[in-house]
Amino acid sequence: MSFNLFLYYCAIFGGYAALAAGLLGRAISPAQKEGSFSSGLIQTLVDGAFLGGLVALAVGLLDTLWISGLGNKTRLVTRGFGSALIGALGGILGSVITYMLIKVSGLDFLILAGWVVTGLLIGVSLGLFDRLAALAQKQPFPQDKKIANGLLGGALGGFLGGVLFLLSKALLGLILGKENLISASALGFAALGGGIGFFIGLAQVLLKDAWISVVEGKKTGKELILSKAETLVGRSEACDVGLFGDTGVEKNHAKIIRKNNQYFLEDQGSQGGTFLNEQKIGKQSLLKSGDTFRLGQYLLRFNEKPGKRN
Amino acid sequence: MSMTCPKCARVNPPEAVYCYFDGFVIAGNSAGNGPLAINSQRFPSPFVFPSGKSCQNFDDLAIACHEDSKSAMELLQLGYLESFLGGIGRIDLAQAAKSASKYPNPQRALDDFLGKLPSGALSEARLNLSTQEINLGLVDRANPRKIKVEIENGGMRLLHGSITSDSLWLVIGDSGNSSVKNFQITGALQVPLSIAVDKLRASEKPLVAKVTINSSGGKEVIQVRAEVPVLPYPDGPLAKATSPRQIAEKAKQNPQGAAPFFENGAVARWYERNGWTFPVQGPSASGLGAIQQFFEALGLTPAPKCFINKTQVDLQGDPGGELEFELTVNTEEKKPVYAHGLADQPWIVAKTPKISGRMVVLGFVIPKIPDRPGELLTSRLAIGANGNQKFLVTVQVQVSGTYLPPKHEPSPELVFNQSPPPLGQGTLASPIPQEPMAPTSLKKKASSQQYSLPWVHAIPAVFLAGVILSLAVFDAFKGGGVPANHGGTGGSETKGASFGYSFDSSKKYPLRLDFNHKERNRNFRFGLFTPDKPDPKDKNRYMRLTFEEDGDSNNTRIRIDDFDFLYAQKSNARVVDPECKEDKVRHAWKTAVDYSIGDDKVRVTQLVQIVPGSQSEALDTCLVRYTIENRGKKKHKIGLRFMLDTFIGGEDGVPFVVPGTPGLLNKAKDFPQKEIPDYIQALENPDLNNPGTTVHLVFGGLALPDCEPEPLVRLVVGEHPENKDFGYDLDFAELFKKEKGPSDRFKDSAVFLYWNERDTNPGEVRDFAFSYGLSEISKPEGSAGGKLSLSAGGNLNAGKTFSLTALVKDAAKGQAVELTLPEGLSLSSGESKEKKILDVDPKTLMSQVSWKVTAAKAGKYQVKIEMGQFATSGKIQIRDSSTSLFR
Repeated sequence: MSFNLFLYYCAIFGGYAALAAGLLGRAISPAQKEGSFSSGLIQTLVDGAFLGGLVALAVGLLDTLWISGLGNKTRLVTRGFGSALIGALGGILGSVITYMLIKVSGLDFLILAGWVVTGLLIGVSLGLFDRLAALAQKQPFPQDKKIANGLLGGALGGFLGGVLFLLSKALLGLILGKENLISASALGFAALGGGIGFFIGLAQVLLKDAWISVVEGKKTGKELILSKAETLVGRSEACDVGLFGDTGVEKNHAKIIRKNNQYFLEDQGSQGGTFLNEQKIGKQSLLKSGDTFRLGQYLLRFNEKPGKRN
Repeated sequence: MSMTCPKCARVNPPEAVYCYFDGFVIAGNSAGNGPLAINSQRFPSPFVFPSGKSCQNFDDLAIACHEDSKSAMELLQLGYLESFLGGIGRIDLAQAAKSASKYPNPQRALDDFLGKLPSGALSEARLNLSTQEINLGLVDRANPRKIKVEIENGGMRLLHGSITSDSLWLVIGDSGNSSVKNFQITGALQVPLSIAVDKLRASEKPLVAKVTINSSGGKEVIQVRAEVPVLPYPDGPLAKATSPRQIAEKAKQNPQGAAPFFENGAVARWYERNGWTFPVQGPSASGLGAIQQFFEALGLTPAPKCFINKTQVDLQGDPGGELEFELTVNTEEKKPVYAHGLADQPWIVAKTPKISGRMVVLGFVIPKIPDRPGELLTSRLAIGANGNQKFLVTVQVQVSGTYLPPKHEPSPELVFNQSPPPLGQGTLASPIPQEPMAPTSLKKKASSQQYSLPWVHAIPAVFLAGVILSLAVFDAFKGGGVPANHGGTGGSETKGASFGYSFDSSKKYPLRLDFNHKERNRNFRFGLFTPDKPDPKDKNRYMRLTFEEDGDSNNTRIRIDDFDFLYAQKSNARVVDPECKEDKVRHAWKTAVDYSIGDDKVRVTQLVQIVPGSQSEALDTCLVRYTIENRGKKKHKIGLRFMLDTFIGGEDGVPFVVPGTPGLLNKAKDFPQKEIPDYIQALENPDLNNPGTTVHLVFGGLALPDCEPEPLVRLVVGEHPENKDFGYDLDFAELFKKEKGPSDRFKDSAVFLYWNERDTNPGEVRDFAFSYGLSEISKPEGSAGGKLSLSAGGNLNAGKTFSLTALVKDAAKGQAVELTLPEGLSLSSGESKEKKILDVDPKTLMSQVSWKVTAAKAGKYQVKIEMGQFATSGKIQIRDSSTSLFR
């Protein structure tokens, strides 16, 4: 999946998830809804939990699919639902904070702040899950920028998605001459979720330092961000970059290591070897932007953000 | 006793000295006659070649395979040999034949098989060379030469191996630049060797190259010598120089004279003629700079430290377009800089460098961006500068457009020669690939099947849009949602939505607003009338709910810091015109008025709009909202009072039904805050079978999601003071000390609503609201016979408490009325199911009892009341109101 396609699907997945959240919240919200403080809060909590949980689930699944494909279903499920749980908590927290803010201040526009908080907490859910997973497995924390990028993207997505929410909802309400419409709510939710998903993805893509793209082999055109200090490449399910369907690729074939702002390619003792620019590498070789390296039938290109090293 | 062979473990007869199967000496029976010659042992049945040649033993078979190798290869491939050998009990040889038959090269397969046969008839392969040293003598670099080396197989088996040259100038084969060749021969082979004259480097010493032949018949080395004398520099101050050092010495002695030879490339050409690499890469500098350049390249003079302005260039453009960019190489030292660049991709062309003292500008051009839309093309530029300093610059070109995956190409397959040459003739095999190398044969296996067409990706977006569109269609045609102006006594409202709803001017609605703000003497008051019903007493007028259609006899008073204002009618009040809005058919009207209090400002907004009634859902109710906002910097004491001149069905004075107040209210009453009911009601006629117009005035339980309206602090029901500009304060004792009109009803009823007069902080916003509109009472059902009827009012929302009122006709004082509630509704605490009639209106014989009821959840409920033998029931609708942040 290319970056453009990834962004597109981030928006689509986010839109679908938020749409589902909106409809579920509408169906499941407690009956004692009324203008009082407590009932409004409960309803907001339900909506926030569904929104946060489902959008985080969608983005988590997409991100994991992007990295590992369908080959690692365990990871897909745990990462997706782990993110969803954190996202749901984020959604609840964002909703509560905003609800209180609005109640105390009486400033309606603070509703956007609620979406910003919800968006940024959804944004950090993936990175946070990775860290919690590392903590649970007593492994070192991944040295990536996923949390920071997710925070930025989620906040921006929450804000702009929120604006889209209000606009689209108002527009549909105006066209149909009614309020409290399911369709207006659905459109607003889809816009909000799409915005959050898109900007979480966009932050990842724009703020990346280095990435690899598949030039030859299955999934040609696929691009993957190197966000971790060590990225394991191979056909094992545990690999960060899964190159499946090629027996020429070993389970743990090679590793891309970030050291002192430089990237190195390291063969993990594979039988077939790892070839950098068609030359077999020894233990470790420095990667430069534009270098290609081959593992089995896969040919990958290493790319670095222009001017990063300077 | 039978004998077992110690080698093959097969059983032999007791008298056997040698194993019948492998000829090995059997222990204990050694006769000292040596092993049995198994090679000459007769087969149980002969093996016959297709040519008719019969093989009686292994020797015959080996010789036959050697002589008729083509047939033998076929027999091996087809499995005949395997079958034959298996049939004579030599499973080991049968397996050898089977594994050999799988070799891709049949000639090598046959040789491998022959090696396994227990026969000495065929001698092993042996490498023989015609010579082990070749002296080419003087070699002219202008005349390419070729020589041949003969390799001979001195044995009868296949001789195979490789020939390798260790020098670039000696190439194996007729052409090309291969340094390795494979071969396999049974006879002799002449191997051509070519002298690559362009790789010859002139030297005082003879050049020696070694050709190594590694084969199955041994290893040999051939030494090839060649003499390539140095051509002395022909003329000028550098004449007779025979080495770069001598050139440098002569140039140093006469720099002025030598400089032109460096500048015009004569020295570089002399280098080339001798097969040497000129140390200065790129264009020459001019004048003495050319000598400095040469000296720096040789390391004789320290080169200035150079810098390049960038190591990464990012460009973007359309396919087929042209792009240009420049790089700058400079130094901080006071020495001239020389630089040149070279791209590793053919689509980037280097322009002639612009040398300018301590700086060189290197221009590059991409004359035609490759037609690879959507791809990020990368090239690396090798930049050389003084003293062979090198810089690598990465150029990335983002080609605009959508990425198109490469078309699938079938992977190249290895093709083996199916018809090997006959034995005895030599062949040169393909070059041995150099190790290590990538599995290039698989490079082109890019899978195009992984791609989906771009339009496929649009499906989820289209589907998402379709879902939302379907919901919109559902909302539009199936009645989803609520009208935008929905409000009234329940349901959900949205702040500021009063103008979001489009009324259909072609239809007549049950209730309509009127106001006079466009007239010269506008007073911003509003009135209500029913456009679908005439006034019962004046056919030329619509039936009114206020005394005047335009509400002229109503008034709104604001008190700010003990100073009274009639809404929007004081000189120090400024009507904010831009916010004075009305919808096209006058169903909503919003005005805002700023009051100047010293340097401070207080804004009072009046919003009146027709909204659906909570029970009827028809647009028959007027929601009135006031918002007071202290926009100043000081706190101000602010209060609000509204006077409503009620008018019901042509009657200016009617008795009211007040929940909690026995009987009917037909005398003025001042309700303190604790006694203010959720609503009051009035009937045009005191006849439950024909009540006429019924109106509701609701104060409590107005569920507005964007605000919590403040409760009334005082309610006065009484006579209109006959002063349309009546003041803020109302002295109940003075105004109503004597009753006006008939004792059973008001003459000109009016309602006074007071909200709390209190300090309002800077920035504080206060909301007040009430609704006034048409309503219905339940039609007497069952056995009621015009004696009983039901009405409900207040906060008819889930989880809230509302009032349920039974209207009773012709009842006696003390008579009991019993209420039966369905599941979902419950009596509020302190309420009893059965209540007694405490008062009866003597004129109309009407009375009422009321209960406080709580609704657990939304829905329609059937409520029943009974009084003696009379009973009736009515439906109450309880609503949800959505107040989530997200809806």
